[in-house]
Amino acid sequence: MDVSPALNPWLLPALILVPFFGGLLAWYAERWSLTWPRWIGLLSMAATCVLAIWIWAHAGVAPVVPPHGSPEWIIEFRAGWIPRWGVSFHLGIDGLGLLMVLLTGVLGVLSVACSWREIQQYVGFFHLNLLWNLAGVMGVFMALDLFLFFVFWEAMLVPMYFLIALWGHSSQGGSRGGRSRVYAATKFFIFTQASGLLMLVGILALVWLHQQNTGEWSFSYAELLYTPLSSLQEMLLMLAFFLGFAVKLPVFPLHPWLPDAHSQAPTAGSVDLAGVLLKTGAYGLLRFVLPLFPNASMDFAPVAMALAILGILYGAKMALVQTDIKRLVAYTSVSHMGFVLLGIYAGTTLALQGALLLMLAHGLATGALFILCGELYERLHSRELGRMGGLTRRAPHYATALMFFALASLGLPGLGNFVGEFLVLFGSFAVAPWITAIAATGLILAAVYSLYIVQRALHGPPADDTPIEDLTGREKLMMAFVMLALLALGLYPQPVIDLAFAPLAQIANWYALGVPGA
Amino acid sequence: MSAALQVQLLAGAPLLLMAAGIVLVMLLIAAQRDHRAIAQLTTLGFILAVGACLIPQPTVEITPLLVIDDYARLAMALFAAAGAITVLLVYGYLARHDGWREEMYLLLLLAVLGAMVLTAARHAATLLLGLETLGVALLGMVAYPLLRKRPLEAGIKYLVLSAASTATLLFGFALVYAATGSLQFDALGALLAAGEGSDRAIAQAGLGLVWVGFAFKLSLVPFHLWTADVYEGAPAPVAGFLATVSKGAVAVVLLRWLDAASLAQTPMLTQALAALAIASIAVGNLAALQQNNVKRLLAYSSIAHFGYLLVPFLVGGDTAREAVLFYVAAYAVMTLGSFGAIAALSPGANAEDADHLYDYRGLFWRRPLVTSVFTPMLLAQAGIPLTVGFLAKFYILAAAVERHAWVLAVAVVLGSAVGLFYYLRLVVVQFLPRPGGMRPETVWSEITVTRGVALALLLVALIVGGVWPQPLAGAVARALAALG
Repeated sequence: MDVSPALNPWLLPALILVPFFGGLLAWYAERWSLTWPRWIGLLSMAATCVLAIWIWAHAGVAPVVPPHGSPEWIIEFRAGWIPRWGVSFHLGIDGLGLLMVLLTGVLGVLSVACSWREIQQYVGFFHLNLLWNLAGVMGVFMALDLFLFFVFWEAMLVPMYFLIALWGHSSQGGSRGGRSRVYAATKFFIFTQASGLLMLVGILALVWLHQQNTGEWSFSYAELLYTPLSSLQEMLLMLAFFLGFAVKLPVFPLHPWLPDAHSQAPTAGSVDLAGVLLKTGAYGLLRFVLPLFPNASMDFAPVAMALAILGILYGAKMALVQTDIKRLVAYTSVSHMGFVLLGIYAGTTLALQGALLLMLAHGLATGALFILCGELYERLHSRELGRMGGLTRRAPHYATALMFFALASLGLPGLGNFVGEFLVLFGSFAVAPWITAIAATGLILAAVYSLYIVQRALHGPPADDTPIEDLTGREKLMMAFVMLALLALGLYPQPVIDLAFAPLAQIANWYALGVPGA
Repeated sequence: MSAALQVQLLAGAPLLLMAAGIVLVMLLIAAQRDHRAIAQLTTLGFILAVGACLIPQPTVEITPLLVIDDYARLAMALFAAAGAITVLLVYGYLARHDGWREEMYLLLLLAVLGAMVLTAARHAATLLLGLETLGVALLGMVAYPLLRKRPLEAGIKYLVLSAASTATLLFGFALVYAATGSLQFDALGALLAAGEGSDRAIAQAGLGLVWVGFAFKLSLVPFHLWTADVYEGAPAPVAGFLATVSKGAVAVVLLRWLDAASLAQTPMLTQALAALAIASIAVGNLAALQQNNVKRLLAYSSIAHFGYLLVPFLVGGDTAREAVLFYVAAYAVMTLGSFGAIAALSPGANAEDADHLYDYRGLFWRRPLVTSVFTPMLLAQAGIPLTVGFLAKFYILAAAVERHAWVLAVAVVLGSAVGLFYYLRLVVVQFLPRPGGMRPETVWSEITVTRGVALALLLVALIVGGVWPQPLAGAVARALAALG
């Protein structure tokens, strides 16, 4: 593939460096005014969106699988780093990574925008953490060196920890002030870090096996792809990687950090967590687990799919019994990510496309729902569903937005989530009809909990008579933007599917047939 | 002067510089006490020693006792640098001290001399000589604020336990000597392997006792009981020095000792040590969870760290040896930085150190610069990437994976996960609001500037070592190539 001259390799590090330096600048700008950090944050994230769209516009990706076995990147950036270990600073982007980067940029803009009024304390430091977290996520979506990947994977945790621990909400009626948000942040950190270190052991073992074979240390994705493994080795390594990503996704028994982290995080933190951080888990499975360990993944698929179903049903069930609206939305994420997991392990091109679309749509819809929860909290100072009611009359614009995203979340045709879920189920049916059939019942539960939110929050008699401020101009703009994006994904998803066709089809091929040369 | 002597003098330059510094400082104290001048002189001495270590030279043997190779030179440079940093930290700490201040620098030079002798030791006699020089000097440093109870208590504890460990070590060497007839490291390996019958049993008992002595010095469980009290009682800069130089020098000489008395011959000892490593990781981390005193917390975390460090000693191999040296260097930076931050907050030698968790509340808003050093240091100890601490842990895991030591690797992973909890607790408390005091408290003075320079240098080392580790990794690999 000839690379257009518009696609300078430095675009990739720029995607990381812009938020990185934006964060530093925002921190410093706090001394001038409290508005400066917000604008700097907004502009840096907007700049990453522009860069991502620029790459997309010039990519010219044909929806054809490359005939040879090796992965193909739209842009690659490579620089030496630690020769002792064969580590290089190697970034690369394909359609899959690009969409993820774009999602990160868009949700980054939304995160900054939704904190405009919520965050009043330590504004500069807040934006530093937010932007550094997003910079780390960008790195995760582009790293092609496993060492570098791990560095980004861990580096994005620390700012997230601070976001939850310092600007989070302590749960209502909870223990002493400040305790539970630190508890939630620590829980999140330990879950992800412990599983991450296990993944590091897996990475090291893989690299060591590669070194035994070839005599060279290398953490390069492209080289490790062809490491011959015995089936036991492959299974163990696959499990180490899977565990690292499964905690992030989260897969059913590994999810306990999620409801706490979500409900305690500030709005921007929840948007970031649900919209972007969960996707790094799914991305990791797609980019690393399936291609590196196709046979073991195939053997493991029934277990993974069973876990996916458990996640779908358990998440939906738990969502139904929540009284805290943010916790409710958090549990729906567990349910939706179950569909993504199902799609990934079904492994047909169709199912993978569905999983990707669902990831994008879920990021947008759930991000918007969390923003709405945050706005409600700003107004009511409560997240209890029992204290809402009658919002349709009290704040009609707000009610419309909430209705829209609740419907998106339940998978209304015409919106992005529907396309994703439909493709996942369609693609999985051929592989595992029974499992797919059970998973489909999750859609019914989704309808129940979505309508439950709508009914409890929007209809019925109002809990009290105090007037509620309706959406402000900034909030309307954000909501309208997300609505349009979801509509676009739902009505005309073809450009997105085309962009990611080649990498996804290649992953599906590897998964089905093994990596050539292995 | 013969050419051979000249080469030897040049190679021994760091040791000679320290010795000359000691004499000079002693004479200066006798003539005229001037705190600043002596501190400057000591710093200069350390800087010159670092410079002398960096001059490339061939391996030189000085008598059968010492060998100055690249390995020794790298470790010497590290300890001299740690000494220089400690001077900068201790200078402010002693500024308001009532008693005599200048002897601290004498003791510091003596301690670094002892550590340097250890790094070059290839004979049991040198090993003990270095260890005792270091230990006795450290005793004086720990108990330096004589009029306060806690340092004094810590000093006595350190004295008793250090003497006990030296005695164990001596007895161990005596048994090894009885069995093999050699105290020279080079010859020992073959002699140990050749021994048979009762000789072999005696030699193995001796090796076991030597390890007990080392375990005391490295504060491995169950020989760790002195650590928390000594760290808590010692002045903060001294505690940092003790943790890095004393333990680091022992780890460095241990690597040389293991080349001779390799663990491969004594499988039972290996298993026992593996149990010690796991116990240290477990006990250190779990006990650190319970602490509300920051110095005790760091003490227990150092027990855990040396549990991690024992892993590469046990698995052996080239990567493992690199891991040891890399870890010692990284640990020196992280620990000096952490104790440096405590020293920066402490009022000085007259009053108790600021070591209660509550002292750290809201620190980010009151003393942003201290927090911006302390937080990365703690995150590095927790093994977060982009700091040298991550690479240190990476080396250890790589060494363990290379030799299929899965149990030890998993112990390191689990230990790190538990460790996160207390490091994060200490980190986040610095950012939480403190009722009453949220205004900046920074004052600029000579003291804060010297301390600031030390902390800034450590922070730079921490980040550069994490982001661009190749120079350090290369230096470590070259140093070990010299070791053969």
